[in-house]
Amino acid sequence: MPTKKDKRSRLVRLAVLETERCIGCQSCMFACSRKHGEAGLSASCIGVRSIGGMERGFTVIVCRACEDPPCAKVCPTQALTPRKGGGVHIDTDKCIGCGYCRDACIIGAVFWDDEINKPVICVHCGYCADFCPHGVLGLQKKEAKNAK
Amino acid sequence: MLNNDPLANILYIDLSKRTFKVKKRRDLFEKYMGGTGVATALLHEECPEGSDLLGPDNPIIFAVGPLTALFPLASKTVAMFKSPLTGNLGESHCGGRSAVAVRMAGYGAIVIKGTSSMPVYLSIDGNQVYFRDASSLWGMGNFATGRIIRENETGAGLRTIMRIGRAGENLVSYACVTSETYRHFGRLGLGAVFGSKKLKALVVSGKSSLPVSNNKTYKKIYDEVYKAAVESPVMKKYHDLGTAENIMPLNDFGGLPTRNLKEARFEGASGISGETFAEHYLGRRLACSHCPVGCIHIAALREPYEDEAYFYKTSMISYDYEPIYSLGSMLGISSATDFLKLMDKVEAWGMDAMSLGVILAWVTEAQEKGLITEGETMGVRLEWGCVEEYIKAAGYIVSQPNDFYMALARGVEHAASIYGGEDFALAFGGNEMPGYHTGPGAHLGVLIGARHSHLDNGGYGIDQKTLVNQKMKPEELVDTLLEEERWRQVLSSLVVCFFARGIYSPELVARLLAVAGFDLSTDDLQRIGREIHSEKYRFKIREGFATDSVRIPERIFETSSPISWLNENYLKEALKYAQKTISKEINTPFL
Ligand code: SF4
Ligand code: SF4
Ligand code: SF4
Ligand code: SF4
Repeated sequence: MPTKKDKRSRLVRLAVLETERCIGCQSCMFACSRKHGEAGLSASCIGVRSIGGMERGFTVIVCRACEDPPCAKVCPTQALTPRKGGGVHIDTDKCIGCGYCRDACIIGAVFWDDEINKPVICVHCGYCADFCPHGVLGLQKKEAKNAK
Repeated sequence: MLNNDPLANILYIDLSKRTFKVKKRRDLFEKYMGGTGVATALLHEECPEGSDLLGPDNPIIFAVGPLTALFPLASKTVAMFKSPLTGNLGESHCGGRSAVAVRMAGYGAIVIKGTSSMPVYLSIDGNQVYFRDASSLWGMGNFATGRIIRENETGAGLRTIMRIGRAGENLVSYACVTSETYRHFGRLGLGAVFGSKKLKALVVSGKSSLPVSNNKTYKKIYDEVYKAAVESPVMKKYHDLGTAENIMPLNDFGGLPTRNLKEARFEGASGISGETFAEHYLGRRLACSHCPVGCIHIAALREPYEDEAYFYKTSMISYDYEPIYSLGSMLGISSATDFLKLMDKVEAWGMDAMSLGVILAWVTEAQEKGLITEGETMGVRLEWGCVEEYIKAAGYIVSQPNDFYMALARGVEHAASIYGGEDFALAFGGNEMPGYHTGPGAHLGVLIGARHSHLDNGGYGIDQKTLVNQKMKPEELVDTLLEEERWRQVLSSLVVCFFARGIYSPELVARLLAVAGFDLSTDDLQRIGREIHSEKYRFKIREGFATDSVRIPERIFETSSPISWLNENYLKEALKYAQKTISKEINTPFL
């Protein structure tokens, strides 16, 4: 049975609070991989890249917890199901690696683990935010009425 | 090392034949861990004795280490080659995204040999290597080249784009290779080796996972290292003002080389201090991949166009202590704007700012003394602080329209051997001096350092911390420097950024290595450091280097340093002792 804390934590989402403060260190990307039990980057579902050259700063790409997730809608096997508070749950056993979800997410937040040929999508756990040295990332409460 | 660690893979590329192969070399990585150690071993294997500096046999070797992409700050790529500047061991370190990209592409090292018949750039994506025609990029600067390749290749955020500008194409002996626009393999002329191979750029990208010996321990130690990196007071100066913070303290100390080291204090220092840059110019701070410290400081320079009102050009230009010294105080430039204008050009052309500044300073003094006329300089009249003339002269060094500029393009030691003024030609072992006239530690450190770099052993730190208070016998100073240099071979074999040397203690390093499957005690580490240092010196001796016969420019004795007892006899004695010690250690006599 979910505790009160669990219920609440389902209603939070990872938010990019202040992109301009990002220094491009990619600590968040490595953190996400570790959170998924991997070292390196293949399991990371957050991406940081420059906006056409580092002189212009960075963009942080991560699932923004859609209320009605387009990625889940196109999944032919229901491997992706909407999550309370926005975003999706992924059941990797059901996933056939078709890549439809990747095309459906126009912000590019469906990352691909080439080693298993399956998507990796943020579960809004907030682990990465603890490794951002400049407070770019943080957990945000999703308004209850918005939750599905 | 762990069985399935892709670190053991070395990618060998032949530009002449346009072929590549991958070999597993666990032997090298188990013996030397990675980085400098592995690259030195590969240099012995791949670089034939006496090979042409700008010929197909001079290899370009890149190596990363076992901690790269596992822990913060193991973020450098080590490059090894024979230096077109010194004619001997060439080693240069660069951060940016380079190290993580090479490791994530599934390699521990990359070796490039041969010469292409036309301009090419290489694109390495995991196990694919593409040879791409770079004819349309030839002649382009660092910024433009990066912009075009960025749009032409995939892997944004997961790649490094190493490239050269026109200085490298034109074989300027101290041309650099730039990665991610603002980081460099700066010293000793890797850019000229690229140029000689008609290699305009190298793109590497990848995104793999790595094995660890124990996931739980991994996460725990990671947290410890991360915490130290962001909270430790020894890292603070790097993220706040960056390395430029050192300008004022060094000036106050009386160790900031000024106007070709005619002085060691610059009255205009506050105009180019870290504080001035931060307050008036700092536009952005950046980090190398996997470094939460982020010491990279980028200035925004806004310049009006002269032909149109309310029309501006805004350039983003990186600054650090060393270029501020060499293109600032060394040239008598006291305006941050002027420094940035010069720096911007130097970046686009792709030259080592340190070497260039020292060379321009020498020309200025040689012109003052009448050794060089405006006939040689083609009408350029260098005077301290005159930035526009410095930009002109630097441009001529890139295009080399006459014998004089061709000589300058080969370094100050070479130019002074032709035109005179050797007493004030500030190079050590053929490499132009770094920004420290702090005392015997700094100068001796560069003289005996295997790559004649201030980072080899940090001798300037010994001056500031120890020698100001107490005298040291030459033997003792040499021993101290050698010991530090040996330990730094361990750090650079793990490609740990030297700025993190304060947190990467031997004990911590041993624990981190255990996570990567290396079972090494702190004693083992010290031993490996010694071996690598010896291997480097074996290569140097093979190529004709002798410690006791390196030229010491008179100027360092003429201009007093904070350590007043610095004199020629002391340094000569120290060099003799260093030669004896090294020779004994490696069991090889100097030639
Ligand atoms: S992965 Fe993309 S489409 Fe799916 S919920 Fe997240 S942001 Fe929306
Ligand atoms: S919140 Fe969790 S799952 Fe999402 S990017 Fe961060 S670490 Fe990864
Ligand atoms: S950890 Fe923070 S500063 Fe570093 S790349 Fe991620 S969002 Fe940017
Ligand atoms: S401290 Fe600076 S140079 Fe070193 S890894 Fe970090 S950003 Fe790069």
